[in-house]
Amino acid sequence: MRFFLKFWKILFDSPEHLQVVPNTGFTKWLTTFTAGAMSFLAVVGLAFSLICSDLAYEWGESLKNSSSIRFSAPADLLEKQTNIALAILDQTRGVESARLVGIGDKKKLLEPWLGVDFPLEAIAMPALIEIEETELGVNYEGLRLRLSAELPSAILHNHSQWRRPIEVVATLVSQLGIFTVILITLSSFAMVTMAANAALSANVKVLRVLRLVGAFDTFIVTAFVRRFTLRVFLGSLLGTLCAGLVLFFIPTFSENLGILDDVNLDLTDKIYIASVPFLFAIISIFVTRNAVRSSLKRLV
Amino acid sequence: MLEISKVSYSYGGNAVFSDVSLSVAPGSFYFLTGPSGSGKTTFINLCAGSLIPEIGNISIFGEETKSMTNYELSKMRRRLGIVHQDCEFLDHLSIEENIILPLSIAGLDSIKERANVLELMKWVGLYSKSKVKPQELSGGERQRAALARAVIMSPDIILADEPTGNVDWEMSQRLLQLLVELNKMGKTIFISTHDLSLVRLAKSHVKARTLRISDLQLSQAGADL
Repeated sequence: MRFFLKFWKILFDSPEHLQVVPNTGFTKWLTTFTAGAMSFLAVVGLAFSLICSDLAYEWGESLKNSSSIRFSAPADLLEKQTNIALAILDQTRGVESARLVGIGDKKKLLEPWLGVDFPLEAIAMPALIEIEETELGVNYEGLRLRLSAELPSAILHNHSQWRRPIEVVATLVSQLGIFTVILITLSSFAMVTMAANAALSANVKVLRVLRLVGAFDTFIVTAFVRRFTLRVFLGSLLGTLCAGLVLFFIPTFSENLGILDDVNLDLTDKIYIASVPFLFAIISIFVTRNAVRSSLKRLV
Repeated sequence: MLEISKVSYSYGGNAVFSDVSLSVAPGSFYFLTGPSGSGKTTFINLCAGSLIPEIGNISIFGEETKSMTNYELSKMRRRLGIVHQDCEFLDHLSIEENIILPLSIAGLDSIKERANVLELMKWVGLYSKSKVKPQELSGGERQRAALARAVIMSPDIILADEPTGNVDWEMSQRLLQLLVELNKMGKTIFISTHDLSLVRLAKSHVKARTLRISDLQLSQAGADL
């Protein structure tokens, strides 16, 4: 709260500072629009990066300590063979829990391809046992050997063939998101610099008049920094709000697919996004200060 | 008050003037004359601290402009009243706000000071135009507004660069009358002009000295016309 009060004081405290720099002309809209557009891109890029980062973590975590056993058996032997498999797993180190995937779960898994009311019971489907592992993990070679001896039709999947590419792709996408955010931040820096310089060029007369009437350089710098930072902050706030609305109205992944639960912007992510206008304001303070100082040096 | 000692200045190697010296006493009235391009504006800018001499020294109120920081230069400018030919204002502010600007910036715009501003506006004949924007004023009105702004801080020296350059003879007389009144109040007036009739008129009201930059280059004394 103290930070916001301080920030508010820096921007609005002295009306004299704001009064001397005109709040009109195309540069007003140029600065505000540039800050808004770049903030919009920054927020979307940041959200993209954060979601991908969460996605990479979720996918990696969900597949990290799981494996499955698939076997085919006639209906009358299914229960017996399931019990054999569950007994083997019960005795295997590193197995947290194991359960037979029921017909309801299978239907749900195949629903996107077969539809809601497909009579899956009519088809001879292999039995599937889902294994939850402990942090230590399972000795797959040992388990495979035992299964081949006691349940020859069983095939063990340790999910690594799925997990690794998914993790790699998700990490790459996440890194691409971070790179995008860095690029957008640097571009924002450049754009705000150009907008500030354009605005200053249009206000050279103001600099001359202020110098003429004995304004200290610190007063002139503060006046321009306040005016421009206010514009950048308001533009950035609008851009961030627009991007926030867009993100809000995009349906969450989990609603559509059901396999990517919890992939959403959490509170920390929202705080990062909310900090974008403040980041732009800080950029504007530095950029404007330097631009005004160099303009004052060139002034006769 | 204002000491100019062996000052030279050039733009990109082209000398405007060299080895200029002058000593300005408090309460004096000076005209700096000469044709266009003779360095009158450069001379005024040097005296105002807007330009720093390449060679030589300019001392204002006992301090050399060469050794002043930007802060000290701005502080010094508050004791100077500067009027340029192309008098510039902040176009988004009214004339009253423009005139009071030096006080606002210095944090001196109290109710009493604001009342003084209105008196000053009456003195320059712009009381009825206090809420008008600068671009709505005529050339003469702008010059008078610039003069009001220049004297609002009660400066010791008033530097005016071609103050009558853009106005008719009647308005020139009115402006000169204001400057003569200021001089009678004890202010030092330093005017650059190419209008010799204005100089003649001034001499009928006040003891004014006329200088030419070419004269200053040779000796410390100005040459009376």
